[in-house]
Amino acid sequence: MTAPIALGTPLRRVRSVWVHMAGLSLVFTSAGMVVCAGVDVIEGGHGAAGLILAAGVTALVGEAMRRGSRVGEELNPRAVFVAVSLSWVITAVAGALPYLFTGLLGSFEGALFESISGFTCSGSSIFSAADFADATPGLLFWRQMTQWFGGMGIIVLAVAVLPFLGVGGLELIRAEAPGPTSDRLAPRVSETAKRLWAVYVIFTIASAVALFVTGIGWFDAAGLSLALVSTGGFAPEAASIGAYDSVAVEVVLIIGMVIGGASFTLLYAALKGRPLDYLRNSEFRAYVTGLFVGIAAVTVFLTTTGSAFGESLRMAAFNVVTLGTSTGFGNATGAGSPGDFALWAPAAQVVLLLFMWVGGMTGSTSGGMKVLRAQVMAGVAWRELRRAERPRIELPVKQGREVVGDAVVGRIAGFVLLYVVIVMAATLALTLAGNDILTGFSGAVSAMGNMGPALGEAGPASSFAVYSGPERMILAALMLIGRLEVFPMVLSLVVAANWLGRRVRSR
Amino acid sequence: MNSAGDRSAPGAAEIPWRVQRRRSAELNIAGLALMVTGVGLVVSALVGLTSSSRDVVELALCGSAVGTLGLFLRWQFELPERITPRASLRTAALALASMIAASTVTYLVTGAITDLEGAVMESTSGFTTTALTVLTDPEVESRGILFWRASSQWIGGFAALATIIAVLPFLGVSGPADAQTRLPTGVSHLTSGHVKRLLGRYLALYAGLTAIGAVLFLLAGMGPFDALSYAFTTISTGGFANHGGSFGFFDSSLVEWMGVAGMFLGGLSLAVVWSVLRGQTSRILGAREFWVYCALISGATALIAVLQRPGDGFLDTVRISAFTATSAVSSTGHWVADWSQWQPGMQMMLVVLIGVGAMSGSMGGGFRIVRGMALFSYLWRELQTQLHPRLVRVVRVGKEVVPESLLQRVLGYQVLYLGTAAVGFVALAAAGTDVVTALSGSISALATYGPALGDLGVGQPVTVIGADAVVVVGLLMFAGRIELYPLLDGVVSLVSWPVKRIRAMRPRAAGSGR
Repeated sequence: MTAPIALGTPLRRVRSVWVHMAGLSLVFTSAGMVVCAGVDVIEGGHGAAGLILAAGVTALVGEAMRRGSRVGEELNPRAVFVAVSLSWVITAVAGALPYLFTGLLGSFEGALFESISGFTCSGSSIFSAADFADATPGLLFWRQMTQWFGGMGIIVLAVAVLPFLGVGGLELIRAEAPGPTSDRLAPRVSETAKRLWAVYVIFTIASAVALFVTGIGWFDAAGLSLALVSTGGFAPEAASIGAYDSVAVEVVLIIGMVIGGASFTLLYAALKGRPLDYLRNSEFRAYVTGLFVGIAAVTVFLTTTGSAFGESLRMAAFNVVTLGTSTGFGNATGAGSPGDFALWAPAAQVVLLLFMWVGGMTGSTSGGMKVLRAQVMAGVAWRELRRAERPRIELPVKQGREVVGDAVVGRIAGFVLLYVVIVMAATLALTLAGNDILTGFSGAVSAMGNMGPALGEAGPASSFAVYSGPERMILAALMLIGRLEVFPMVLSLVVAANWLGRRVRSR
Repeated sequence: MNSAGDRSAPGAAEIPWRVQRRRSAELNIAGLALMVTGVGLVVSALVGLTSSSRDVVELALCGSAVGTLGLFLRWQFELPERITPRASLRTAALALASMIAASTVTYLVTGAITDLEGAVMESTSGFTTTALTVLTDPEVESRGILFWRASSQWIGGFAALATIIAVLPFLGVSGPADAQTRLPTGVSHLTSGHVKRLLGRYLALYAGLTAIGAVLFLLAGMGPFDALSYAFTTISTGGFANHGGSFGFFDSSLVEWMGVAGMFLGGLSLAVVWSVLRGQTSRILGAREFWVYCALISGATALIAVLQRPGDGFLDTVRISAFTATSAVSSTGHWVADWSQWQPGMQMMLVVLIGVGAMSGSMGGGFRIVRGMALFSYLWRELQTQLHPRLVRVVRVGKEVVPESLLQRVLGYQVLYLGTAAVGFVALAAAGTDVVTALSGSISALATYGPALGDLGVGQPVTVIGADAVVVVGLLMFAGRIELYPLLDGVVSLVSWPVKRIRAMRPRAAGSGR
């Protein structure tokens, strides 16, 4: 092995997966910051220096970590979970730097929340209308870009350029990718990662063009498309989509969100000339059916409480899709406007709350528990009822026409249980801190599912500034846990606890 | 329909009044339930006689009619040796429904409740041991009616326990306590001597606990009538009260402490009580569920006392905290303070505790502590397996190993429980309640606790949430009291019946192409 720096004694590279992965992620992140500095200059902003400074710091630290470490041949599950979790946390910290260095946000905690909300594709913001007015264009673009990075996943990006991660690569992608399964698109893992990112880039460019055609300007079109394909939900305007108040924009976004919340394997197939794969997929059918049923139900609830049918349908369609795909755009033009679903009829709110639990499809950029898991859970419930009549019957759980093995069913049941327990614990913490039940509960559900807006005081016309600093850190933790599909973060904590325990005992 | 043809059946000459008995567990057990209801109604009439003659005749008449109907059913329908699971599910649902129907008629005949929905709700609330009432002021009712309300909860509490032990044991859902019944799975053995002995033993324990409760209340200063009716509604974890202010009416700290003791006993597994009586204290020490039950109550008490400080002095605070926590964990529903007005964190904690519920094998409702423990043990294994993929390990509750088949049932029950709560949540909101009322009301009704947050806050008649929402709440209580399966199975049969008919009508040739 050659010395990384040609100075006196050669440095010995530390064998550590997480240091290497995190370093690589930081390098990518800094490249994004440089792009944003360029956007800032073009748009005539004043924050290019701050962005370049943030990029420099990030690149320096990242490069040092990358060069100072190496990846071993084999990856055990522990190393995978820790590497993915820590890479995400460290990248989120770096992502907070631009907010601080451009001087917009004064507190590190606020910047970190905004950054985590960005990378996890949540889209919950603490920005006030004044912050949007003060922010330099480059920073707003950075805010959008964090979502774009987080959507497909920084690890997938890293794996795409790490040819030496033979066996562990897929495990890393699996640990990061939303959903219990991740299909291989190619025999080689790094090739799979490259194709995923290629599909992602094509999708981004296409949606940016479509948004530009609706006439919202290139900056907004590009920025929105970054948050759209990643089902993130940040918008470069203070009133989110309500700022345009345009049906055309909303229709483009609805189509984009539905595709973004669907599996990227299916999108890859469609781009390869097999668009009918969408209809052959049972999860996709359930996902779309669910969205239609939700839109119909909310439309009914809104019309019966006094809204006109056309407006109800528009509001229902946009908001059910935005929450059913865990995107989190809002089309409220202001507090109390028709799009402010925190003020809708309770029944409509409850429907939205259920969509916040489920989210989009596996293998997509969306959050939540995922449609596939809901399908399997419904299958388990059905089997349970059948068994009540015939206790000794052996029945498989089916998803579409495929039989789901008992091991997978058990894992999914464990996932759902863990998910519910974490949300309830966070709700308890948030309500004990003084939030009312609706705000606390919906905030926890929203953060865990990477939605964006919540109900109660943190509705779409409001912001997450209603939560105090420590409460926001709880929510940010939920976002990270939810984005990485619960297990990596929780297992990292278990590993850390075990390690601490050993250290204490050895004393 | 079975007149002429059946009489000529062989054997008719020897015992002419027996041969026509047909086998039906559903109707036989429904008859038993109606007989018990009838006896309860007649006893209520007698108790009512102690103060005034109001409602006495009506109660006695209804009681005799219901009892006679029950006798008739028992006489007409014989208990089969073996009962299929499907019939068991129907039996459980029908028994509960017939008791509710009998009670509804009584309320309407006596005029205590004049509208049908209200009468059904009050009866359902009674037999499901839920503390939701439609009466704005119970004190204006006659003693007979008040005693009947309390009796319906007392009967309902034991009926639910008996249902789980005798009718639905094959579900394997009552947790490791089941191991004590040592029944083969697959069929219910209602006629087996073992189940009869077990039920007799539990009934004696139940009556004994109720007597202890009544004596405690008497000593604390209640009148004999109140002491007995409050013992009925407390040991059964029911929660009906003879007064608008529940236990707060007596304004006596001693009474409230006795209430805490009574609710604690109600949420306790009768198997544990039996072990204590047999002197097998080592078994109670080994029963991990018992310790978790105690820990939940004392932990919640401490949290409420520290964070909410509901009383004036230290003792006052501890008493109110303990009362509220015990009421929630045992799913009783008695109250001394309006906890739906407390700080949000306390409200949330209590709703979660209500959802978790009491010990298995007790009169309390909810998800049951033992299932929660099994799930946490399972979750821990799941986490360990992810770290060490080749790990093989068993799931335990305390020291007992939970078999994988039982674990699957618990996981399935978790899905059904959460699913039913979610459906109730949507249905309540669709019926017009606000989000918080819908969420907490759904959980509380399913756990047969009763009061909840928002409009369903303590001390208000349930009718304030509107008739549609009351129906939803009633269905949730019904489902929750008999472990979900009987009602959900009925729903599934209803839905799948037309599907099956349509499939049967379709010509076979269409499917032969495969």
